Order: sequence, then structure tokens, then C-alpha cells
Amino acid sequence: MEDMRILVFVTTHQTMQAEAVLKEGGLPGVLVLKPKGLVGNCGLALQVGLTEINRAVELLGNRHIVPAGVFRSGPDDRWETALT
Amino acid sequence: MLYLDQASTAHPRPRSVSRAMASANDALVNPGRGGYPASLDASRLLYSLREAAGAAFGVADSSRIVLCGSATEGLNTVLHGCLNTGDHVLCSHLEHNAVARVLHAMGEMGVESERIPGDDVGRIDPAEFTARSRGNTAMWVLNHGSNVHGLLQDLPAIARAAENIGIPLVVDLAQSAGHRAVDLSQPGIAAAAIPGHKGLAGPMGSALLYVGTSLHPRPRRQGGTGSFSESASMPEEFPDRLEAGTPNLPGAAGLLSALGLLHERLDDEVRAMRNCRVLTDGLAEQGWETIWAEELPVFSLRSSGWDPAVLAQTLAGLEKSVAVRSGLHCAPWAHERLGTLAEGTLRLSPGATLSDEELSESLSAFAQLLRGL
Repeated sequence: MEDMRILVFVTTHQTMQAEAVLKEGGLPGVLVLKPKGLVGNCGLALQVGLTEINRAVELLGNRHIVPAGVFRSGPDDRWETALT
Repeated sequence: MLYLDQASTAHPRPRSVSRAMASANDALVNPGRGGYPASLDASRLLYSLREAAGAAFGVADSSRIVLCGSATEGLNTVLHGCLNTGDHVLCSHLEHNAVARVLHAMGEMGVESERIPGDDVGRIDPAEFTARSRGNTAMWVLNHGSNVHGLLQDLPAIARAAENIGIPLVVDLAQSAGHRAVDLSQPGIAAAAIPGHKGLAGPMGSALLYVGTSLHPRPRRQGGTGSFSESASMPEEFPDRLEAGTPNLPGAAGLLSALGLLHERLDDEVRAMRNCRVLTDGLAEQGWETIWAEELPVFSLRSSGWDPAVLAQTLAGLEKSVAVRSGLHCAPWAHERLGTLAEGTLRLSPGATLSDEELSESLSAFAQLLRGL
């Protein structure tokens, strides 16, 4: 999971919108259940490859979609905030 | 059957609508609650529906489009959710009971409502809304298209007046959505209720409610949304705030399919209006008195002593049944304005698919009725 980033959003609608925007931009994310303990109030999250995270955030920003958080896998199976 | 009751609900619906409903029913499960494909696809379908509706009605932020069971439910959501004791509401004299009964009920809670008579057919000069507004006027409500005589109010002008005075305008699009292109991005329009099953020809039991950012209704329903689950209160965010419980996925799939045909339906409207003209002209020649504003394909026949229910029943019982609607059409205020409250009317609303032969057969059925009167 070190090479993955998890983007979380406030609502399911916003998560679906983010998935659609990334797909349009040729950068598909994978919808996953939001890991326990992460901020964001949607039960789903988007998983994006590490090498694509900056591009993903840029694509979303172009459509005024700001993730509630971006996370990476940390020690002891914990998730920690990942700066993009 | 000769179906002249499109204002009640569209018939026949496109087969693609039925197929989409069946497919959703077979393949999809609860959206927003699971990480498996059938649930994710359900969430994607709802997102696609909101986006398609946003594109069709000029709503840039599709999260402000809420799924409902009916336009009536949507109007209830906005009126009950936004009005408070001491508020004053202005509305047209052509409101359907979807608004009239809500305002009546809210009157018992201290919400005062006032009907604007308009001209002799209920058409409102936007300046009337402005002139009657007071310091406590919290909302204007507008029936965009009449389901009794096909009158279309001047929505752009009334929206501009609402914007100028700073009062939210709530629009009932029950009879106009799918018949006329409606742009909800016009400043002044705060909310709009859109039925899925009438002009859009989507499934019965499907509808959309647009709520702009100037309104933040109190939810009428509380329950699961698949989000903010740790909170005891409904989310502030849209659409979750107004969508508690499992949505009608087959209905959403059917409505999405119907929206894909919207441009064709708007093109077909020319034919529907032409069919209406053929019927009104033919019936007038026979001696029936028609009431038609000539703006939507729905009109009424004024009674000259006959009982509309008896005539409707007679037409229904013919060898080739003629489907029309009798009575007040859930719009007693409109009949009051038109002077038809005591008897009601016989209402006809032909669709675009009615052939010339079917129009002739319909007129023959009415000629036969006349002979029996």
C-alpha cells in the first residue's frame, strides 16, 4: 500500500463526482471502502497511485473538488495524512 | 385506447425506460453503502442521473438535485422545510393541491398565504408579485404550467422580479418539464420540483427537486444516508440532507433513460401542440366550449350542464376506450379562477404520438357523445 494514496470526500455524491472527473482526465481511481479512522464522512474513498496523486488533485481542483483528506499507509497499519 | 390524458402521466412510455428499470432492478443494490460492484454501480447511476438532470435544467452543481417520489413530495420538502410561523407566502391562483393543500396546512401553523388572481385566465404580471410583497414575505410559489388549461406563466420575468426583490421563488414544473426547455440557472429561482413521469416520460414514483444554495430546508425525513453515520442529525450537505433511506433505484434508472430522450421529446412538442389544435378546433366546430391558453398541450371543456364524470365514464366505456380526465384535476383554485369550480371540466391532453386517424376517432367519439346529450 506504500505506493497508494487514499482520497476521502464529504459525501458519496462528491466521491462519485471525483471518480468521474479522474476518469475523464484519463486517470482512473479505484473506489474502495474508506479505511477506519480517516476523516471524511462518506463511507467510500478513492484509491490513486502514488505517481498519479498530484495530477489527480490538480484535476479535481480544476473542478473545484477538494478532498477532505489525502492519506497514505503508515506504520502499524495506521493511515497518516499525506501531503501532495 | 385513445389516450388523451398525458397531463396525468405519460403513456406509452419509451421502452428504453422500462428496460433501464428492469436492468437496475436485476443488477443493482443499495447505493453508497457497499464497496462491491453492484453497490458502486448504483452510486454511479445516481450520480449520472443528477448530472444528466443538471445538464437538462441548467444546474451546474448537481449535488443540489435531490431524488423524490413525486413533485408533490419535493414541494412539501421545500415549503415545510423553509417556511416558519409568521411568514407570508405569495402564490398564483393556478396552484395544484401539491401547493394549495400544503399552504392550507401551514396556515394552521401561522404561515399566511395569499393568492394572486392575475388576469381572467390566471396569468400573472410579475409586477403583481413585487407589489404584494411585504417585509415578512418569505417565498413566492409559482405553478409554471396549468394542468387545467395549458397556461404557461412567464418564468424568466417572474424570476427576475424575485431576484430584484430578494425573495426566493419556488417553481412547480409539474406540467412544463419535458414540454418546454426550462433553465433553472436564472437568478431568482430558488427551488423547483420536477416530476419524472409526466412530460419527461420517466417512471411513476420518480421526481427531482432542485434546491439552490439560497435555501437550506429542514429535512422532513430522518434516516440513513450512507454518510456522517456517527452523527445523530441529518447531514448539512446536499443531496444527503434530503435523501434519507434507500432510494428508488429502478425509478432513477428509468428517469435517467428518459432524460436521454429529452431533446426528442422537446422536438415532438410541436406535434403535441398541433394535435391539441386539431382537437380544440374540431370540438369547437361540434359546439363544445374549450378553455385553452394555447401554451401547453392540455385543455378543458367547459360544462354546459352535463356532468364531466358521466361523459368521461361514457368515453371510457366505448368499444375503443377514450381516456380523458373529469373533475377538478386536483386544482380547485384554478377552477375557481376560470369559473368552473362547481361543475369541474372534462380535460384532454393528447400526446405527440397520436396519429391523425386517432385524432379523427377521438373527435367522432365526442360527436357521438353530443348526440346522447
